[in-house]
Amino acid sequence: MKVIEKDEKVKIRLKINGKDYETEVEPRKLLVHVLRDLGFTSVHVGCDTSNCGACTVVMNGKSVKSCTVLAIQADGSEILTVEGLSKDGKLHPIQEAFWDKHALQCGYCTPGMIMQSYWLLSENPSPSEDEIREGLAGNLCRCTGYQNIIEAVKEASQKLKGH
Amino acid sequence: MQYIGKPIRRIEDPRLISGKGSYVDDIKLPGEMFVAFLRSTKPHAKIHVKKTDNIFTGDDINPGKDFPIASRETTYVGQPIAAVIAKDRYEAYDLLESIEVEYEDLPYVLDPAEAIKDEVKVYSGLKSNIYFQKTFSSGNPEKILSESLTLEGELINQRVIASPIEPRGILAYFDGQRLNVWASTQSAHFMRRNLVEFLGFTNIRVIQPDVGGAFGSKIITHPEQYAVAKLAMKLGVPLKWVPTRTEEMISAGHGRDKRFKFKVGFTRDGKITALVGTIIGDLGAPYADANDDESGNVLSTSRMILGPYKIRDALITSYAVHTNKVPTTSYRGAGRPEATYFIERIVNMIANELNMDPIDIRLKNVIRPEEMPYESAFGITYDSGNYVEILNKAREYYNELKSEAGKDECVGLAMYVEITAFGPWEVARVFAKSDGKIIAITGSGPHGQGDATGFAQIVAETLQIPIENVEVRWGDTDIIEDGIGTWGSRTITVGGSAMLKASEELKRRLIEAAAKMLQADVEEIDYSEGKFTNKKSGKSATISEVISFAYKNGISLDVTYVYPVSKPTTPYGVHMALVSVDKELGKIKVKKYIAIDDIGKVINPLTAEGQIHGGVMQGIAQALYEEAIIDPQGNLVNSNLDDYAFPTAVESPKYTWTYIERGLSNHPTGSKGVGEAGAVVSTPVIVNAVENCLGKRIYKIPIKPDEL
Ligand code: FES
Ligand code: FES
Repeated sequence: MKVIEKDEKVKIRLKINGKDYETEVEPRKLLVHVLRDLGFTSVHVGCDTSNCGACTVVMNGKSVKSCTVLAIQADGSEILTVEGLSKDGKLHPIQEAFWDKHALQCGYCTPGMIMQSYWLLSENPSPSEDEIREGLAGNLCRCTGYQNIIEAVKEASQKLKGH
Repeated sequence: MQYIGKPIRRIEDPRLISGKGSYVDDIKLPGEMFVAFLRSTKPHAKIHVKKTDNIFTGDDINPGKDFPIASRETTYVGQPIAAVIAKDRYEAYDLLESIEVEYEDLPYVLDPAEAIKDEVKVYSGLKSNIYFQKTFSSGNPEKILSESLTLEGELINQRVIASPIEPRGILAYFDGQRLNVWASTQSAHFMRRNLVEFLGFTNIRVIQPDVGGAFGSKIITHPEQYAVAKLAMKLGVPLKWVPTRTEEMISAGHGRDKRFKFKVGFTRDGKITALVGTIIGDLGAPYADANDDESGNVLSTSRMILGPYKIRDALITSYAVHTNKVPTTSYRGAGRPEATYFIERIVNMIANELNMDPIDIRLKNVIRPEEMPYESAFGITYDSGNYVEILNKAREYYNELKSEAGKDECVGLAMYVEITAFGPWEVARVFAKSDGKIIAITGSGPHGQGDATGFAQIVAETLQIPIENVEVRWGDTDIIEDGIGTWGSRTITVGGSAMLKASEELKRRLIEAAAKMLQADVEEIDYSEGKFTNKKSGKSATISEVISFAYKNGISLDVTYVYPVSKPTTPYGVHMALVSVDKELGKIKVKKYIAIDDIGKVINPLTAEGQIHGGVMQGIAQALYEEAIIDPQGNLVNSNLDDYAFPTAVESPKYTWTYIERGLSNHPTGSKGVGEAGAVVSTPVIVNAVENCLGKRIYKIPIKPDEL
């Protein structure tokens, strides 16, 4: 059993958007802050009680609120953030749909919202409207009133199925 | 090339959907330290903070004063009373726990109706808790009331919290000569002016980076922002402050919180004859920046309370009162939602009392098109539009919703007129780069509303160039002469008019340069779609050739235009909703929401509709979910996004938006504001619907399940 003292730092490895990173963290440090320190500032902090989902990333294939994971718990995991979605400068269909449908205003919830949508569509490629609403209920947006986000997810689901 | 009026998708989006935005907490300076604030746990107390290294108190920031940072006496739970500086946020919050504070409790008052009596002073430095008392009167309301049918009651428009997903924040660095500030704010220029005044020092640059929403909560300069700026000057180290959500909720963004005790007179056929009442607005503690802001909103509530109706006999006494609570500030609508709420709720009660159709009763009372522009009994000029037409248009939608309504489902409707596009002025700068790019800079400060796209449309259309050739910038006090900011639904109209005038002036200068280049008189130059032609000789030049000629010949193509404004312009509309009310389960669901607005010329229907969706959702949330609950000890009970019932995608209804362009504004854009309209009207729409279902009057919101 490995024991880490209070002020001790520990080395962790993360694979973020396909690339390997190694960093030293205190055990108490949250994954969201480590991701941000590593330059993935798309991952936002909107609350301190795990409600808003602005920090959502896909970790080992699951959507997680990275403010609610200790960085050391994430040691060895694969993480996808919105920075990793577009390929060769081409927007991912979900990103494109968010743009087309005007599904963002201030953009602060947007990276988390897109990652949650990404995960939702990978679980359920043809969600009904109610399934989309339920599927995004962990992600708060103060600007859009949600309808355009729901429309964007619908459009993205159509496009992705076409592929 | 026609852009204005088209649903152009936003030029802001590509960065933001790729995670390349840059909000204040994304910005890092070498050697930056983190600041955290200790906050009062008492609503009113004498305080003594034990000072040690790295602990800064009110005496370091505002010696001998209690604002922005309390040094001797604290007046609300959540007020900053000390600051710590540490290498990162984890250590800063550790350090906060080491601060020793002695409190000596003082009597406090939380209810503004109590505070008015002045028995307990909110702050020892106040002569009275009453910030102002004003009377608005017209005609002979008491006499008319005595001759009318009447109805009375007290309506509460509760305290809610703006809660943008990005909290406030600031990063400040003094380089020995200049203070450099990055802040999550609604206006870099306004914050600069505030900091200049507070610090007594002018060499300040403020940058508004990407901002994650505000809804009024980031207009003022907050106590913490003054404090961080001051400490940055003192210490010469880059300092960053970003609060946690809990801190944010217990210290900022509180809005609304007004009550209206009324008596209304009406005739048997639904004509409203007189309105008498008292408005009390709760300002919270005496923080001047907030009080200046919110007291203006209390006036807006008072002066707009007559709505779109011809009520000539009215008497309103209004109070703005301090209490030992978080100082209130603007929240989307800034006083107008309360006015609309009060009058539209009253109209609904009268309609139910008389068993009258909600559209018929409004038709009976609204200002007629031939009476426009109309000056209300309280001196507000409604500039243009056709209220009768929009009500008639609403009828088809209303009847449709009515016919769809099943068991335990009801339709609610409300109308609004509101004031937007406040002055005093706004600035735009438009210039051509030598490579042909057109740079447009606004003095306003968009933070989600998409005005940059609107500006690009305006500039591209005026200059007749592809929109891709226009770059829009804002939020840096160094790149434009000055600015006001983004609030009061003013940006596209006032900022856009400045932009339009600046673009026209640039076009004029380009034509002048082209005339020189093509050896013609200015009148002989024909300009169309990026091409200048000498009508006489037939010779022509492209816009980039003319720009390059201008640079070579010492002609500046850099235009700054200051657009002054004296009067607001008044959009209006009718909104309605189909709501289901399950009395057993205590559940209310907004199923459909239909909005019809006249916001003058619509520059971009896509972004305008987005504003309606977002505003409507916030207004619905006020009707059904949100409330800042403050316990008898002055603590906010629901200080996080779990306990504070923030709506999710599940609660959001299906919205339909329609607009007419009947009442244009007098501004060059012809537009009126839309940013706040949704939030102004949707609260009474929903409450009216539920009231219609329940068959009993509703006086207090949010409507709680156990009230059903
Ligand atoms: S920051 Fe709000 S859920 Fe993670
Ligand atoms: S776009 Fe601003 S919070 Fe969602």
